[in-house]
Amino acid sequence: MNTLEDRLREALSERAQQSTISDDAWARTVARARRRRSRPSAWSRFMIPAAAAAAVIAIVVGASLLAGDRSPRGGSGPARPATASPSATPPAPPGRNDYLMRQAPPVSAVVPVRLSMDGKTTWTFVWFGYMKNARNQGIALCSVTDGDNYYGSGGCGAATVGAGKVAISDGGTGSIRLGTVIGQAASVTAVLGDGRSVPGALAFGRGFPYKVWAVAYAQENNARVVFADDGGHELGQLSFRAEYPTPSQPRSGGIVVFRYPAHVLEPTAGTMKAYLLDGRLVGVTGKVVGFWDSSSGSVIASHPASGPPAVVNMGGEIVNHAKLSEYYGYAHENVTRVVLRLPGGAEYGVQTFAAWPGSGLRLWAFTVPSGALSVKPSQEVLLGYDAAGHVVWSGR
Amino acid sequence: MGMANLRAGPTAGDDMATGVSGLFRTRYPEMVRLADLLGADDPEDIAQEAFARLIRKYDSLRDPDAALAYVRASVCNLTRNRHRHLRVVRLRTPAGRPEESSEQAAILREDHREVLTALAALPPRRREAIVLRYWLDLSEREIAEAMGTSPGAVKSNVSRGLAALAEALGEKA
Repeated sequence: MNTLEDRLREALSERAQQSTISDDAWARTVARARRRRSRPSAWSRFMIPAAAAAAVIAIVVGASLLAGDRSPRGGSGPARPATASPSATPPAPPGRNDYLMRQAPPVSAVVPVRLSMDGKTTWTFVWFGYMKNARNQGIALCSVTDGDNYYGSGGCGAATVGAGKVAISDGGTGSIRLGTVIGQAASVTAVLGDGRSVPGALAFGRGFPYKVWAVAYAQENNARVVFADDGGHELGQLSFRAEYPTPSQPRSGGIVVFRYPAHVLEPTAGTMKAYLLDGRLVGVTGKVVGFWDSSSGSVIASHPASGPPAVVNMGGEIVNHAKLSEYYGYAHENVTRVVLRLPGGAEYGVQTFAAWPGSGLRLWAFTVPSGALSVKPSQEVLLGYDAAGHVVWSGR
Repeated sequence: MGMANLRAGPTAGDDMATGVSGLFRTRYPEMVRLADLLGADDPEDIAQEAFARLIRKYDSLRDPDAALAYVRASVCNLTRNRHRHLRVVRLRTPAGRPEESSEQAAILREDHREVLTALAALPPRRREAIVLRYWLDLSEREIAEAMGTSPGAVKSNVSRGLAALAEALGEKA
């Protein structure tokens, strides 16, 4: 029987052959690129003058606040927002032939919103329009963000603020959250989980049925986005859960879990190392275990290193082009052997070995021929044995 | 400042178009297919927009070798944007299978259709990671570049995507 990977490759390859390619694609692409440069007038009525836009709506998020520096602006209260400097002009807005512009042609002004975080500035162009083939969904808020590797990412989403509500979120992209808010809103602030406040921006332009709010903050923070009127009275708020980036590989403290030669697990040879991390990096209170593969990145446990479960499997799925699959993870100190039991009854296992002194953790790793693995990992059982040979933990 | 200044590019587009044409010749079909496999409803439109963006930005690329990575990232971003649009549309329309036409469905082998249907049901980022890995055979570093994420996140998306596929296909077996 083919492995899941083989089936995937065959299916994707067959499906890809059915894509159609036009003969005039290059000419159309060049024309599309040139149109944006040479025909500014046709839709300039949608734009507000750039300098005015910057002065009215651009608010720079205090980078020092985001970095945790509270002192210059006084405790955890709202930071004094920096205004856009005269030279801080937006880049070229998305052209008429921009993909989203065509999916939801503007029925309002196209307004640039400047945000910055960690010293990097982004410009998000926002407008309202009706999505093609979905006019009955109501008016949509569209956004396109450029700068700092955003590459024009964005999208369009429902914009209507329902009865009795103050604001909605359209999601956003990267570190930017945005959406629509009722006209009474005069300020928007993200209050992060640790109490810090990050001022956001409100944008309004011709034809806007709502104000547009936007705020940029590090996404590993839980956040409440709070809206207030011009008297400072809170109108309402939206909550966002934290999303955690992968931490950097620590410079020390690593323990080699296993090594592998080239063309077995990865095209190049590599070493897998385990590190004991400060759990706050990944949203867990306490310590967590992370594994760094020298050739292909990292995997971080989402479980606290203390407390159950007794065996944590960090790898072992059928990945890459591997002839072998490596099962590895950590276990609590009462687990001396870890065994994988496959649906047919075959077992693969290994003795665990001590990890960091005083951590109460042990590490383990063993290989399994990829061909032996089922495409139904739910039928595989991982067992943890103590020194007396008793099963002290089992899980799928 | 007037709007003309806003729109002025650094140089004329012709030189940049010339620089991109070689890449276009060799990679355009691949980018169309990538957009198609990621579920774009108009893959050629996505690929053309990605190359048009490259033409506009070609002279600001620090490394010409980065052009292919830029186009790949654009295709992923643009397709994801399109998904966001479609997601809103689908909120109030009957669930269907917009991923392939009936003609395509008839042509595809039955087992391949099962795999592709399960793939289409994955969250966009997992689907992207799977397609970039198993169709383009990219390394995790290259996939991370295309998706604008970390290699660790790629590993996680591939792994969880495969697990979800296995589960979905297993249930149907």
